[in-house]
Amino acid sequence: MEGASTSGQGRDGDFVFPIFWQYPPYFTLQPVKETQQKQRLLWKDLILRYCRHHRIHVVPVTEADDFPLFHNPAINRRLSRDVKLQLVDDLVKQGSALWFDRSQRSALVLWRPVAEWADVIYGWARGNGLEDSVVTVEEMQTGVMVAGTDLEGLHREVLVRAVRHLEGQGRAKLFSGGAGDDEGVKFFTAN
Amino acid sequence: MGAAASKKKKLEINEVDRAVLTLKTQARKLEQQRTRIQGNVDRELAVAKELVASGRKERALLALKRKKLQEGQAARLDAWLLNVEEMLLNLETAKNQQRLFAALKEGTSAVKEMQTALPLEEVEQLMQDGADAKEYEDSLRQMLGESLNAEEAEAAAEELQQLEAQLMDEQQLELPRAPDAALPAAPQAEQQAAAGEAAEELLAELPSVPQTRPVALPAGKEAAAAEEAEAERVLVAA
Repeated sequence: MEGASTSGQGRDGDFVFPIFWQYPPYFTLQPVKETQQKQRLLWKDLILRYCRHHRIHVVPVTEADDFPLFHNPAINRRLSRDVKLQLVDDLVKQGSALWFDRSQRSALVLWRPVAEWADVIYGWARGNGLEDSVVTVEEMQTGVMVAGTDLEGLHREVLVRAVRHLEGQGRAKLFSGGAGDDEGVKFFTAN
Repeated sequence: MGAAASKKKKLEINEVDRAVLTLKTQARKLEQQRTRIQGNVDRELAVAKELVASGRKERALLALKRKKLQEGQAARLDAWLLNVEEMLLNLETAKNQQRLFAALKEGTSAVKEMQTALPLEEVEQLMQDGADAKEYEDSLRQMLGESLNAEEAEAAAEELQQLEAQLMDEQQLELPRAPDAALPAAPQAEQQAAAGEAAEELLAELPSVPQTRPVALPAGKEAAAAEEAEAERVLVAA
């Protein structure tokens, strides 16, 4: 992944980078407090937009240039790990991201709130006549039934959290079978 | 029904759900193996082609044999996968049947419940009570009526007499007009119907005679012959 797809002049696929992404100062935290606040707000929004656009669920927070958004080769600027940490932590604080572990080397970005994901999942289950049926977590990520839907390739952690949310509403239950079995989700008819 | 279902709902995972999960896991693993084997098959084929091209026939043959082996395994995997899928379908069917049966049972018990809420004896009792009430009311009205309408009853009886007399007068006035109605058609139809009936009666009686008394032939011969002749006559007439 090291230095993977480097982007051109402000485009990544069909994603158009904002103008501030072309300005070197934005790649270092500004000393003036107000300016910095504005800067961090812009970055926060950009990270979410970028992840939503590319359906990225995990953002690496390391020293390496392993995330195109954090590295602009055209102006030879990159975010330092500290800045990345700060920006992602902003997201975590507003509930749009989750640290995977204490080392904080990658984070789960929730560009859709868990509750919304839960609705998407339940809607999908209903649409496929899966109420009262069992599907494996794997099937919900890569199965034929999710191909072409928003669920395709959904990160397991997001999926599990969304299912737990459904569990709270009495609409689904996550369970595991015998030893060596995959995890399964059973959907229930909502009342 | 809906209330009962939601009350019972506790997000429970039953044995069937676990079985489905196990089967689905197996299916995924089989699929995985199948992909791997297919890779082997493709590789052996590529190797064989290369060996043939470089003229090393024996090695190529070996590669092809290995490919055959892998293909056999692939076929087996396919069969197992089909089995697993069939089993999953069977489970689904059984589940549906169970659900359908439960629904039907629920319906039947609901009907029964409604019926027991309305026992025949009670209906009978209800009707009886109604009749009793009516009777009571009638007798009450009668009693009250008698006590109250002694004079009125007399007046009513008088009025009845008057009405009857009036009716008699009207009938007498109307009597002469009767013959005007179409008379001639009726007698013919009646006669014909009567004749037909008589013939039918005769015909119905006749056949039974020869069957019941086959022994008394000499004595009854003449009579039978006479009867036969008569029957013929009747038939012709009819």
